[in-house]
Amino acid sequence: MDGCHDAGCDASEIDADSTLALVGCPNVGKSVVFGELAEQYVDVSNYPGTTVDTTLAEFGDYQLTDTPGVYGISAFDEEERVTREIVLEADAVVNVVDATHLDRDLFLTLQLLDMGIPTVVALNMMDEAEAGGIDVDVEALEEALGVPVVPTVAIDGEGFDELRERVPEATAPESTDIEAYYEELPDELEASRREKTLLVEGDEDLAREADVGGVMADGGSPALVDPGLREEVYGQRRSRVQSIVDSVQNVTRTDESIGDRLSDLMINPLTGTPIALAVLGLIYYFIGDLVAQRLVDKLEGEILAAHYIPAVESFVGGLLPEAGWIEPIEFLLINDNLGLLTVTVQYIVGTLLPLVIAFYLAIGVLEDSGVLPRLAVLTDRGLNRIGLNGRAVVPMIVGVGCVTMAVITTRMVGSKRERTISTALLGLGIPCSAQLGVIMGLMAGLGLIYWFGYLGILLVVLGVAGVFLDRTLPGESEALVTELPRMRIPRPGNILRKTYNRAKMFLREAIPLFAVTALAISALDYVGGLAAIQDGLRPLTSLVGMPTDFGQILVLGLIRRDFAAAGMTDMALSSAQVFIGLVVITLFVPCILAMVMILKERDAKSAILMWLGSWVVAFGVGGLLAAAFGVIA
Amino acid sequence: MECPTCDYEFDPAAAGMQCPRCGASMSCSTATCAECDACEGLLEQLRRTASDRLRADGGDRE
Repeated sequence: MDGCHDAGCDASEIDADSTLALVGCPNVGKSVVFGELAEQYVDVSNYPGTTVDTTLAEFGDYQLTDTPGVYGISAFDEEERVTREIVLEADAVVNVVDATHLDRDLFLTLQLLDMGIPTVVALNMMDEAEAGGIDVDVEALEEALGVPVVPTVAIDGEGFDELRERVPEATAPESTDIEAYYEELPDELEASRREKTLLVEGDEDLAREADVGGVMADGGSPALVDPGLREEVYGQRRSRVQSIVDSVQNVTRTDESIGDRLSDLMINPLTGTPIALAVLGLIYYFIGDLVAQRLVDKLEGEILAAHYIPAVESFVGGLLPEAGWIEPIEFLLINDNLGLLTVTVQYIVGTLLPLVIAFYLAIGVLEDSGVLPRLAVLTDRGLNRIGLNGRAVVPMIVGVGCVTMAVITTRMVGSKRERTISTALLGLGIPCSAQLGVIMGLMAGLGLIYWFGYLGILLVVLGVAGVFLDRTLPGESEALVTELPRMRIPRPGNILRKTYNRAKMFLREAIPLFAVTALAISALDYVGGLAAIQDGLRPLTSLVGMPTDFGQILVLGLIRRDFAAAGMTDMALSSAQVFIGLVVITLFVPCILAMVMILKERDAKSAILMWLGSWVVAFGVGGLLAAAFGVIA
Repeated sequence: MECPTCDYEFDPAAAGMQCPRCGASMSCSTATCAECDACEGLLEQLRRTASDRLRADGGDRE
């Protein structure tokens, strides 16, 4: 069982005889099951839509594929098409079923069995079913389906030894009730059982490619069967689901738990809003005060600045020979502004690392406790006003972790229109964790009122931009469709594992980029280029009431947002200037990686408009604030 | 109408108020009359809306 690396691997890297697809409805724990079977880490969350791409890994003799969550094998949208293609080609399937939603999930299971696909059912979330008073007779379910059923609690790693053992037993009944409908298909049709099942369900893509008596339909009328047959097939399958559920499931009414009561309070705007604000306050206290003020001060000032930097300067000074040509190299390595071995290391280890870890810990707690999806419900009405629905809160919150990752998750928010709006808002006014950590650290020195002022300005900018985009982009928004996972006490092991892996991925990406940026900026500084760019940016820095040095911060911000924030920690600024500077660098352009992702996910025109728009908004808002504070030089 | 859980489009007049694919139960509080034509006339609309509301007030969390 070899994992390739953290994010799965290419098909060419896998030496496997058979293909095994992991299939299930959204948010049933497929990615956790994938991680357990492949023995590799997959970043998972307890809200639907986390898996928007397929991921491959090696599992014994199988090539294991994680698929996007679907409610049925059909081709109604892009995720369904992706999953359908994989399932049609798979040698076997592990169907992950949520034990608390048997009536919903068994439809897909019966569809797989109707298609004759060898299947093993992983009956997941057995702990939550038990907590909800749902008793599932696993043996009876296995008998009713005619395939192996393995109870699991994926999040705790329970049931996986049995699941691994039973995957080779994957099977499907020789025939099912669906066969009666095959008679509706043309006699000359040459198709497999899988294809016939989908064809009687009116699968248009398959009908177009169908080989009827050697004649391919090839773009002709896709209707091989009566259009009403799908409803009949679905209705009949739903009756079978209901009959199985009735025979294997026993629900006893349980008292409303504390989690249920808290959940109700969180999704009610009257009680949920103050709870959400209190949660934000707690996060601020943890990151902005405990970590940014105390830990970072100690690490950066008392350890790195006092001991590490002098030691490195002395070591490098002693190591390099006394020669004129060595001076630029020495400058690149140990200059006071952004020396590669001195200030750069101080930023990464002393500032970014503790803040990023603290932020991922906080996000991990919100995710694991089930608070995040409730925020989606709570914010749905507000987001509707800017052309989005509550689902968009997930990319926005992920964006507070990393905008680059969040741009990928905008795929889950609905139509192209909503994706464009959410991407634009992410690029414009959502600070990433690394930047936010440093911002919280700087804000902590100003006071809580500035923190709420900063949040207020961002909300106003996002609101105005959202309304503008909502009114100018064609089309209409889609309604919120989401499920709420049970609220629970966060599991420390989960949170620590997520934090460790996310921080590791962050450092893997940030360290080389930070190093290259530091070298480039130092080289520019050495040849006087930085001064020239700063002079060029002088009209803009003056407009927002900042000193000329702020131009250097903007140059850093073009590369990565957190570099700009970190660069501000060493500037001598008034409280108003710190505040304005932080607002400007937050609204300033997305980092290089986020821009690459926006180009990949959207198009060049949208990406350029978003990039230019960020300049206009950042300096427009900064100029207004400077005028309000009266700090224009 | 479009199922609010799985987005499957079905006809409530023929299939009833349960999505035939994911099994989600619809009610007058989850769909408007414009989206749903399960009722044959105004009287049935009123009857169904009233019974849905009464059921919800009765504490049924489903």
